[in-house]
Amino acid sequence: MRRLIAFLYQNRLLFAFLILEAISVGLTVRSHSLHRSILNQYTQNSTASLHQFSSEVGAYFSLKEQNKRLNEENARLRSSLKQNYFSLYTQVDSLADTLMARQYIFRAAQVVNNSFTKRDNYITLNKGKLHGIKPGMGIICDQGLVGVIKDVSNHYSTAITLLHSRFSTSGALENTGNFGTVSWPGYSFRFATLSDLPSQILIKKGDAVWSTSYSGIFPPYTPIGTVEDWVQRNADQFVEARIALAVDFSSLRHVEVVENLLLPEKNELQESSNEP
Amino acid sequence: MKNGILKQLSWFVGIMLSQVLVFNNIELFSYLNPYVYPIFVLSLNAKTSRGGLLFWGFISGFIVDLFEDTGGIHSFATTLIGFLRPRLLRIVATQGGEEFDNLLLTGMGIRKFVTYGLISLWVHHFALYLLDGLSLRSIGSLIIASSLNAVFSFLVILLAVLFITTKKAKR
Repeated sequence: MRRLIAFLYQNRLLFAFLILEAISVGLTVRSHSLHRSILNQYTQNSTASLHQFSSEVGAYFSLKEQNKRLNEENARLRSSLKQNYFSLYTQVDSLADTLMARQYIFRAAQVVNNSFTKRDNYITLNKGKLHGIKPGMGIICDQGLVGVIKDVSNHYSTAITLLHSRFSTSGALENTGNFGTVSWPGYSFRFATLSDLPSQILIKKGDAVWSTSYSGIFPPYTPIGTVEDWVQRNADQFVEARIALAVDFSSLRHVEVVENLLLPEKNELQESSNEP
Repeated sequence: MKNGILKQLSWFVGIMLSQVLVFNNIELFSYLNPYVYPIFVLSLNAKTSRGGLLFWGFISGFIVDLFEDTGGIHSFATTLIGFLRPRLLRIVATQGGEEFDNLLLTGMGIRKFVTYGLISLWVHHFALYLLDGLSLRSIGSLIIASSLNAVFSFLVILLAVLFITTKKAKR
């Protein structure tokens, strides 16, 4: 026993080193799992407020570009206003419609922390539980699909973006309607892959890829990207396409969080059908 | 003595804030990201105990991890260079570094500082990238990415050190 203690004492530096490295590896592994470390829950608020400060300062540098984008979006939205259409009918249905139920709610949020160069990328938004944000909601921006909310605190929420190893959603080709799985292989934040496409279909460079309503997280027809090139793996009936992403993740600032009001109902129904 | 600790702490806070607020936001060619904070551990007084090096290495990495949301990869890498620092220093120093006034450009001279800094940063970046994308990268791209980024980080550190020391000299 005494010899053991003497041995431990003699090599205390080595053991301290090994313990610290083990803690680091443990933290890394935990952060990769879906459940964040408890520590992060506590530190999230304080680090997020510093990030908010830094992002507020940083926002000034791209003010021009952001204003331009918002203006463009404003113009687009304004032009789709009802009052801008000359009615060809004498009678128009009222907007409070009993034939239509609202399915999607959008909540505007700002990105206060953003990463896009790592293998697994996260963003932090300045909207949280108090604003009605819940884990699992989708995030889009004016350019297209961004990611999914992962954790929420009272005032902030973190999300995994499309640039994450665990992110996958279904995307459909605009022309043919065939759908596949959108995922991110790493390396560049400008490109993702669309896999599991049937090999007999005709793909062209520049074909738009849109989100589908299968997952229920994103509204359908949200742009994801455009086809850049594609490969057919040997002895495989599937084609894998490389798509240029619609969203510029390096200048993400204003996003919208999507809530699908009908999603719980859809999930419940699907689950009950799965039961034997 | 008290003054020394205070100076060390403010140096630490300054380096950490600049890493988190400024350098984390620099992305050259979309994949080069300068990590300058290892210079804190590398430039700690030569008399610092090995336990102290481990401690500061872990703490500085841990703080960057909190802000970058990266789990423990930075703590891993900086603890490693904290542990290896006496050995790294022995490459250029004969008396464990105590013959230098400080472990920066002004104390070591350009050649020794470049050798010591570059090798140490490369070890740091290699460990960092190794843990970051264990499943993803091949060993070749791992070496290339860590080497490029280490050189970039070192250039940024060199500029920062030159900037700080010439400012001090003017005073």
